[in-house]
Amino acid sequence: MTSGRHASPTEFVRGYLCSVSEPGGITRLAFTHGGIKQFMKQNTTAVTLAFTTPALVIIAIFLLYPVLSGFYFSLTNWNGLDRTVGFIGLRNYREILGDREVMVSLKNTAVFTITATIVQNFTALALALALDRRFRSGGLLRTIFFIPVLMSSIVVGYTWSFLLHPLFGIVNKLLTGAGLGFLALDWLGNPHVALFSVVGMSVWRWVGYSMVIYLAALQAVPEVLYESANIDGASPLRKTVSITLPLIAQAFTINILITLIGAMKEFDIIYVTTGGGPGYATQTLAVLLYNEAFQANRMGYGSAIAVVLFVIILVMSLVQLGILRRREVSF
Amino acid sequence: MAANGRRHAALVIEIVLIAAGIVYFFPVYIMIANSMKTSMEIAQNPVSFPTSFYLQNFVKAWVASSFGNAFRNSLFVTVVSVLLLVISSSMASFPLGRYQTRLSNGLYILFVSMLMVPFQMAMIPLYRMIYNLHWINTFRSVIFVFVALNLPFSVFLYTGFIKTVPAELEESATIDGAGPLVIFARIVFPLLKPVTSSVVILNSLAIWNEFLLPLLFLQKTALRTIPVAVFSFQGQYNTNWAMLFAALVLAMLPMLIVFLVLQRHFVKGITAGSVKG
Repeated sequence: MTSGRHASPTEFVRGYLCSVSEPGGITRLAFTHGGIKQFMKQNTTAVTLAFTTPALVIIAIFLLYPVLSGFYFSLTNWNGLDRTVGFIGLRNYREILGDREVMVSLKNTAVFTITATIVQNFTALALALALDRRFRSGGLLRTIFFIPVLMSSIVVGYTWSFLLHPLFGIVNKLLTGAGLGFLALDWLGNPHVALFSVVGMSVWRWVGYSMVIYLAALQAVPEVLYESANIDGASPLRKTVSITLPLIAQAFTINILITLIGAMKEFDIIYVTTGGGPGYATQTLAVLLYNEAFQANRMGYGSAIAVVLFVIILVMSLVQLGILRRREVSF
Repeated sequence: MAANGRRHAALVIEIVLIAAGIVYFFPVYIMIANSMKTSMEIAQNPVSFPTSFYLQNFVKAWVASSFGNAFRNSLFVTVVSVLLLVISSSMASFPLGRYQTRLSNGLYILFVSMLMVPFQMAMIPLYRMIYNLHWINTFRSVIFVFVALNLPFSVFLYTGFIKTVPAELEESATIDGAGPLVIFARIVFPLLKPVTSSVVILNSLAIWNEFLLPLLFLQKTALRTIPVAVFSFQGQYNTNWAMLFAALVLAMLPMLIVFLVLQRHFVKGITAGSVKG
């Protein structure tokens, strides 16, 4: 046996087997190789492969392969029923460009994503800043803001459908009772309002999640910085703007990224409350692609829409990471 | 003067916060209160505290949605998926966090880049694959897809944590003649307890509440998980709000109880992947 830099295939396989199977395998081989360091170097490859194999196999079969074949299906006219799949080149993509329903869904996705991201992060940050002051009721309030995170979107969607019902909905009753009857709208049935109602539900469900992340970041800001600012006579607003916000930039990055990606692929809450209606008023790309694939049996076209969604998410996350990372401050 | 003013400001903020909390909690209150009313009482007074305490709603909803069965299905799918996730992602992360070789770095990038992939991108080909495997209406279909979808984030969490654990214990165990698998199981894995609890909590929450995936792959009534059971229940009883609210409360309760018991761990779990990202 040589103790060169590269193990021969037989040695490699034996190393792989010994390293995972028997205790003592490593030492035995190591001593025959003259030195544990030498052995470890050769064997990191075997150990790396042995330990990552289960995860790699699952990812390869159930995620990587489907994603890659998704690109292929987007070039076909597969209808979900036939055994054969017809290759039609870029025709699906050309159809997307002229499809008004896709364009409306694209616009709705953009409005949904941007509004949800802004409102959710603004609310969560405000709650976190307020809760950071440690009130007696703080623990209970934190729990309350977190409860919707635990619910499935089905539960959230149906509860809000009841609250927002145009006839017997409590929201409208309360508004009318408060003399704000002009605000009593058909929240989920009015095409100008429905999308924002759905945004509201989504924000209600997820605000607690973002809040917890902002709170943790706030609590990690060193107290010393505030003390020295106090000595300099800084106002609370000044301290928030000059100390707190820059130091929790990392929480901004992660929260905005999470909301952005989450909102782009949001399906459940829209599907169970409006189903994309009235008309196409709340139809986002995620809902449209489900309908194309599983209602209209246009799997090929649905795949092409999925590719569009994927590319948008990818580009937005990369751009966003680039912009926000630059603004982070370490301490 | 200044201290006084600050105390006033704090009080005002607390009052505003409590008001916000009440408004925020209102939908949950409505759900719970109305689950204990008759349909008649809901129609007459949807906001008030229940007076009839009509618990029959829960019995009826339980039977009509075969809730016991749905609960068992959800529990089985969640527990098995999370178990497989913990084992496969912690193992994979061990070499990824320990070695700085080109192979381990490359594999790490492969895993983490999967974070950007939306489920929708894999959905249609997955459906075809599961269909061709004759795996529709089997629990293994959703379990393996759940594991695959959540692996990237779990690997990300574990790898980040393993890098912070000193390697000395492992090295001395190596000299004592233990193989990597033994070292991992006996020495490394127990040290990963904090991140394991994050991985368990985040994934349980996501998998327990997932709707689309079981909707696609578990079409038989007997195999429905809780969200799908509530969804089809609503389709049948969409005018019976009393029963629907009871079903919603039943659906929410298991996770709420787990949360109230393990609250601290939930908060830690969520912040683990974000603050030291």
